[in-house]
Amino acid sequence: MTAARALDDAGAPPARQRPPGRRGFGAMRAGQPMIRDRLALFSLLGAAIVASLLAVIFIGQFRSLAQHARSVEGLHFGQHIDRLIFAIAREREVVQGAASIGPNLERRHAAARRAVDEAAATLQGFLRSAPSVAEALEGDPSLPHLPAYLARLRTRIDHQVMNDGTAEALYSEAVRQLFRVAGSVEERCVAPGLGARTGRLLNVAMLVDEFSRQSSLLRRIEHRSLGGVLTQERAVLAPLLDSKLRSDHMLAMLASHSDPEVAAQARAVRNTSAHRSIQDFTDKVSLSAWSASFRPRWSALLEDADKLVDMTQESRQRLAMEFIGIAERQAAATRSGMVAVTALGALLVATMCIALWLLYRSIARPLGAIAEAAQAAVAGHLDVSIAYRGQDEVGHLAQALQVLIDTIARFDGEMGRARDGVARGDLTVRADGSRFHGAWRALIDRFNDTLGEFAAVHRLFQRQAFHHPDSGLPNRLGLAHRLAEQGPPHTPCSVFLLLLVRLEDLTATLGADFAAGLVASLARRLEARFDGRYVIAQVSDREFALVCLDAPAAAALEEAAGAIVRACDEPLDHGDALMATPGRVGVATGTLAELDALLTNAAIASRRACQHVRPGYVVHDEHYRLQREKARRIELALPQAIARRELSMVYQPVVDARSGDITGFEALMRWRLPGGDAVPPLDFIRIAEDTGHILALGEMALRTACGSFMQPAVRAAFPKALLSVNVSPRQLMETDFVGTIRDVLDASGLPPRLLALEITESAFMDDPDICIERITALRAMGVHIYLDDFGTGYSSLSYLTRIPVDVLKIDQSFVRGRTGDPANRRIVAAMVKLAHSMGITPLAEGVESAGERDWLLSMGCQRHQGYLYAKPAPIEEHVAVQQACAPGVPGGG
Amino acid sequence: MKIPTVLTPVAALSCALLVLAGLVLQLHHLEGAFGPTRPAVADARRVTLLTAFSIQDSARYQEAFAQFEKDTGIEVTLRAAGGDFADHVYVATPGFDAPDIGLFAQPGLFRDMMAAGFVQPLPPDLSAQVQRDFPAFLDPLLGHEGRRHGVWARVAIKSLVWYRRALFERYGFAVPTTDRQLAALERAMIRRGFTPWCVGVAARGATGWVATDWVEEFMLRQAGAGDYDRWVAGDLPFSAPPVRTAFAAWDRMVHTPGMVDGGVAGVLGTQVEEAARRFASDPAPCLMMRNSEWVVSEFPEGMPVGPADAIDFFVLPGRSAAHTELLVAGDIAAALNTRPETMAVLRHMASADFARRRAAAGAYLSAHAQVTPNSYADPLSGRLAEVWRRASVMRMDASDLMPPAVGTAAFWTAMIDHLQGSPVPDATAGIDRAWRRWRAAQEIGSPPAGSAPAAAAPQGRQP
Repeated sequence: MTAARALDDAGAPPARQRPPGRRGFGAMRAGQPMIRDRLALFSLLGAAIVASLLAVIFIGQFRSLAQHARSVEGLHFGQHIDRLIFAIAREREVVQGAASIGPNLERRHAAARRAVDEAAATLQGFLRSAPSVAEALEGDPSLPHLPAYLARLRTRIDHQVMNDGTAEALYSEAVRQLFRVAGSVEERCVAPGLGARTGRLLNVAMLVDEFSRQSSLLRRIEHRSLGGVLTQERAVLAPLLDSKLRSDHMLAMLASHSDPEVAAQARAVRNTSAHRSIQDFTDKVSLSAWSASFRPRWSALLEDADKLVDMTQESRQRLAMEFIGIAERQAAATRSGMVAVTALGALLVATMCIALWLLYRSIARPLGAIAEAAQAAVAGHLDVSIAYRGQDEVGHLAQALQVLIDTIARFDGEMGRARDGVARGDLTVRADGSRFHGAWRALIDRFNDTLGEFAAVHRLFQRQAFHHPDSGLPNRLGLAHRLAEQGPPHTPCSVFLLLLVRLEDLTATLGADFAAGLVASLARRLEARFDGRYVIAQVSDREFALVCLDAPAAAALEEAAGAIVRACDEPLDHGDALMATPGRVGVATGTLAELDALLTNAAIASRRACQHVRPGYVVHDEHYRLQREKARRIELALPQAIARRELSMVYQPVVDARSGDITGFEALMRWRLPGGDAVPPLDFIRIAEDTGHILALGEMALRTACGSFMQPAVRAAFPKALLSVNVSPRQLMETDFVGTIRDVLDASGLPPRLLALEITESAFMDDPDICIERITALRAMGVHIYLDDFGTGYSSLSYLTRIPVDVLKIDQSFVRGRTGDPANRRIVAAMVKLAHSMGITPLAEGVESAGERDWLLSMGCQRHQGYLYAKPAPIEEHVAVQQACAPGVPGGG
Repeated sequence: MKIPTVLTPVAALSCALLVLAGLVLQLHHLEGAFGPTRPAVADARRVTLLTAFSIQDSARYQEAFAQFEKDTGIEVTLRAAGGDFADHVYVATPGFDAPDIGLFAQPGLFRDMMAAGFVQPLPPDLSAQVQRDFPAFLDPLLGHEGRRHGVWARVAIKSLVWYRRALFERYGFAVPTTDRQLAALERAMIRRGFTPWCVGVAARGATGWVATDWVEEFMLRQAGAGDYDRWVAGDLPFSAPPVRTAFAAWDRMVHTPGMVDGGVAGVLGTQVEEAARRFASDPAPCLMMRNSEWVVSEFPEGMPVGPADAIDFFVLPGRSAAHTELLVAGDIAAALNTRPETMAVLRHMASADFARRRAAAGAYLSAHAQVTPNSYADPLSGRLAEVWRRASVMRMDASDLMPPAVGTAAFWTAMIDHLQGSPVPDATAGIDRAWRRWRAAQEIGSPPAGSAPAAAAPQGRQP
């Protein structure tokens, strides 16, 4: 026995009994070291958190970088679109100043348009390489349609005379839309990265556009003034004043800007001589302060206007460059930040990995080894040794556990030796291997002897319980045990029950010991012949059972049974005698589970086998058993039926075949069960005969029939008819029958001459003298005597001469369906003749056809009874039929 | 074997999940600052009508559209381009404030734009409706290559002579019914010191059209409808005698002393609207003025117009009183793109409902068959509708029908040049040259107004 078993026997510690799967993650791998799992889990979690943190930081940084990239892209886009806007403004200017330029017009037109186209192409090219801006502008139709718009505008200008104002407005529409696009890019790409301060960029750009517009308007005015005296057309002057108002407003806004540099630049622009010059001009125009001959210095004015445009544009470019610089610096800062975060993250992860590895190596792994050793020890492997030899706490734990396991192993060895000794019955050896001595030794010896005696007695009792003392074969109990070992309950089997028929005689004559010896010899023979094929047992003093674990076909069964019978028939050599003990065999087949029933059935069959000489065996028949059961049920039910009056009387008329008159009725008994089923009279009458119930039945029949017959209606219908009642032999012989008849007649008031008693021949068998005496006495009272069932039993014609019989009832077996048989005719004719010769009236039963009637009449038998005339029925029915056939005429005969 | 620990796996897992959830939230927060904000969707429910209307007319149209805007949620905006109408239609491009519907006052310009593909054809059902509801003589002007492209938004009768009825009555002048009577009346007026006519040909971006109208009136009445049609089609050149006769009638008009207010200089220097205002002013500088009914809006506030009032109108008489020739004009509304909103507005403009609403706003005449004279709220419009119904000959303004390069460019400028002194043969020869140039351009296949625009795509989206 191992230590583990010992632990189990002693009751395992609660921790081991706890079902697995209750302790979360560790228990998912039941039996695995948990610390290692936890360390792995913590490593995973730590790594996930650190990685997520880094990812968040990285994503943030990447986004920030992307934002800077977008800002730079947006700023570059701003520069490109500015260039385009100014190119368009320049083209507008050229169209405006068309006439004043004179001979260079075509060239300047072409140059301006080329500049616009180049700027547009550059912008489109830039857009292809600037996905963020393209994304921000997705869905905006202005830029993609700009070339088409410009192309149409130019075509229109080239082919048609276009109003100056219209051309200006249509070009300005393009500029306006481009400013809108620039503003939208600024808002979506630049502002998120650099903040709202970039808005001033757009303001400056618009200022530049305004100055450029002023320049072109001045040209137009100069054109209208033909370079001389200022034109007075308000329509030409008004746009300039409007534009000036707008530019002043923008300048004022920029001058008060929070960014000091922008404000300073705005103020610087305001203070330039060019700006002042334009200011002077517009002041004069607006105040109408010029004289009719006011001739502005046109070339200086136009130059100043251009200068103003250039100056502000430069300023704008500078601002844009500054913003680009800011964005790029921010991007660089972000990039270096990302490098730092990467390094820091890597360092953190590495440190964590090393720390976890150290933890694993110094704690988790040695603890795992210790746990494994402990589990092995618990499982019974006590020869383990723990490899870890560290000098830390875990090392001390390992050493202590090693000592514990070694100690348990030593104890286990000693206990094992002691246990083995006890198992051998050797109590003299101590647990440590030494032996007991002295008084202890004596006590142990005596104890051992007593144990030996107990064992012998036990063996004896066991033998007696399971074996028959005569043959030494297993008895009924032993057979059951033996068979139970042979196979499962549903195993088919055949039981041959051998009944020794002469054994009782032998016991009585030659003594029990002799008989027992004979049985023992027979048992040896049976063993010698059939052992191996059968399990043989002696189930009672004179019965052997041979059970074969097979249920062969009927022929094989019979052959086997024949062999057993033959084995018994051979004489046995016992003592001085050579003697046979013949047996009869009953055979039953079934399964092992039904053994008891099989034995019983086989016993019944063996009893039946005794009724015949040959063949000496009977195979159990289920139908026979059922018949017996049915008879048993009827026997049990009969007394109750009598008490409950389930038995009733019916009457079958006896007819004079020549006249057709009813001469009498035979009272017959019927048994109808409460369920409506009728029990055949033959069945229950015979059983009642066997059981003695016939006495009560017979008396009841007599009393009932006589009572019924004395009813006034019956008497009126059949005044001369005789009532015949069947009397059983036992009734006649075992009771004071004559007295009973007298009582009945007295009680019913039936005249004795109207009563006939039907007696069978078998009534004479037991004691003919008493029988004849009683019949004679009855006859003396006037009662008629009918001899029933004549010709079927032990017909002894001699009785006829001694018994005073009135009527001879020829049994229906001679009548029904036998008219064609000449031999039968001879017998019946003889019986009729015999009756006539003795003065007895013959009466034929079972007449069912007119042929039979005529056949009987031809032989001289006039009294008939049978279905041809009437079926047995309650007397009331017969009365009713009689009254119906002959109303008012009383029947009789 | 059990090691007591505060940080059980479940607790550790919960902590980790908490931290991760925090991080995810943080990321989500960053998401907000990420990526450019989407551009706002252009106002798709706005439909812009490009017109050459005056402010008053725009206001009346706006009033007529009010219910439609309320019912459909479509915002209808009118943009008056004046004389730059053609330029604006021509350059209309998505992304550059392109109009959705053009109201073409000149069928000739409309025809050119239609031929060049600037104008979208009508859906079949609307086309059938237009054919059913509008006069057959106007129908050919809408078609190109078997498909209708526009809807008659308004018609106007040009041949109306406004006269100072009260003064006529006071001085015993009778309303003329034939051209002879008219000539006699003019002579009588001059004789009695009255100036018969106020004429001003100056107009913003369209100077000259009043003069061309007069020539057309004379053509229609003197040469007859047959010659008029040939003339419009270019089969009858400007140098042909019937046209010269018409020019001569015009010359008689402006050069006869005392016939027009301010003489030739006055005709040249007076804006059309100004002429109308002068006509209605007191003391009256003239007694008659020929123009469409829109001039009524230029009359001073409280100046009543009607058969019993200070001012009334008669139809410019022809050769007989029984025969009424009318020179008419019309505005064609046509879609410049196929946006559903555009088509909805166009469909509405083709309906009798719109015509009635617009009529209720005044100064309007509809060609819609279901709009009877009773439909008009003001009696003047009802009377004009009656005139429209009774006319025996109606012809569209010739200068509008001619190609724009001829009708609204060469013809107009020639009239101005003629007024400034250029002799008739020179003026007519110049117009004929323009005709030839136009035909030549047609023959070599280059469309006069350039290629079709990409304006078919709905505004606000890229094709």
